[in-house]
Amino acid sequence: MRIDQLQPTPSVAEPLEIPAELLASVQRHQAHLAELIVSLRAAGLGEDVVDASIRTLVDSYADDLTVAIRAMMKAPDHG
Amino acid sequence: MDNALLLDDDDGRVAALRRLDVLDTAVEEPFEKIVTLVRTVLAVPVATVTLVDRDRQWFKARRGMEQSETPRAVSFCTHTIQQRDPLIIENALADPRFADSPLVVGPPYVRSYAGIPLRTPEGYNVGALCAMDTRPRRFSPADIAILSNFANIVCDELELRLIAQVDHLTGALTRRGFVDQAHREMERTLRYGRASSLIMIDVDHFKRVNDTYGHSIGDQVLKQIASLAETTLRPCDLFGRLGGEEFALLMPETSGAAALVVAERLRNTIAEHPMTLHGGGTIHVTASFGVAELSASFNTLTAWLERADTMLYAAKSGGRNRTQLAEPM
Repeated sequence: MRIDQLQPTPSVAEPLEIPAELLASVQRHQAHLAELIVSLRAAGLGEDVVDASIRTLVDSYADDLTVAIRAMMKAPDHG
Repeated sequence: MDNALLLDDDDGRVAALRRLDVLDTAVEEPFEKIVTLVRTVLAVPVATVTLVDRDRQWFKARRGMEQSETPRAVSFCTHTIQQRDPLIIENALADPRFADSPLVVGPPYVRSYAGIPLRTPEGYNVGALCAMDTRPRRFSPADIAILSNFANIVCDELELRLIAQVDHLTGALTRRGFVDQAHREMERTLRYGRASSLIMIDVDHFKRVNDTYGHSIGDQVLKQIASLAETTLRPCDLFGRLGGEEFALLMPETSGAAALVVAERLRNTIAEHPMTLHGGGTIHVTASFGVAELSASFNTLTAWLERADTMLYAAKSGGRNRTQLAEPM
């Protein structure tokens, strides 16, 4: 799975492969976003507010994920 | 550890918070965006991502709150982290725990509060995502559901930072993660005039292990050494893999003499431990150690690391499988 394949799709994302070590955490985040969407709709918020809120969260998470993956790529290999 | 024990284990909780390496860090956009969304969606004047340190609450992100931190004793969140469920206060003036709080009788004049514990993957509540109003208010189940879901997103962001700091071969901190956390620990130690020691560890003749048995076996050896080191660690200690076969252990509240005892114990454990190889067989390896207690004369973390590193190489040149303690400076 790559960053640009997250759902909802980030506005801008590099096609970086998500390392196995991060996959479970990323999948939890995807599930949490889906739950947030449900709760925002259940509270009667308009689709435009829901979309804007989720877009904000997806984009900032994608940015952080990119930084995290790059940091992991720089980590030491075996000696 | 079960839930009740985790909720009572404040030392473990504070250590888990320190491992996140988020206290006293700069403003970060994801958390800013979350508190902004909480304020907008729940229509509250105050929203915070609050982390509860040993004696204070510190706001990683805040909207409508002037203070960057307050004493823990006056905080709502110190109560929130004592439970797994949300803490809801409909009227703070009617609650004897909060009626006299400076946050209630003074700015921002909190009257109602909803806080969702921020739980680490290990199960510790390190803080809370909070929505506060300046009038009494009944938060609806829909409000609490939304706030809980935002709190999950906060935890995801914190977890992402944590995972990125971990070396996935050994489970130790990466060099970058270790250096970031060691910087903060060094500042804290010097600020309060406490003792703290650094141990540098290097596996002896590791290139020979790789050349003889292959890198896969080398990796297995590194994993087992890290695992042996982990058994000696306290929750407050920092353990990092700085490079190929080099590790560092930072021990807060520990003199050089006490760190020497820890280093010697670990050195003996490694030397006596047969490293079990996948597919059968064992090999023995040894490691050399350099120990340096923090001194006010070290202006930078680099200087402290170099001092411990010098001791490590003294141990290497003295024959390996040795520990060398730096003279106090």
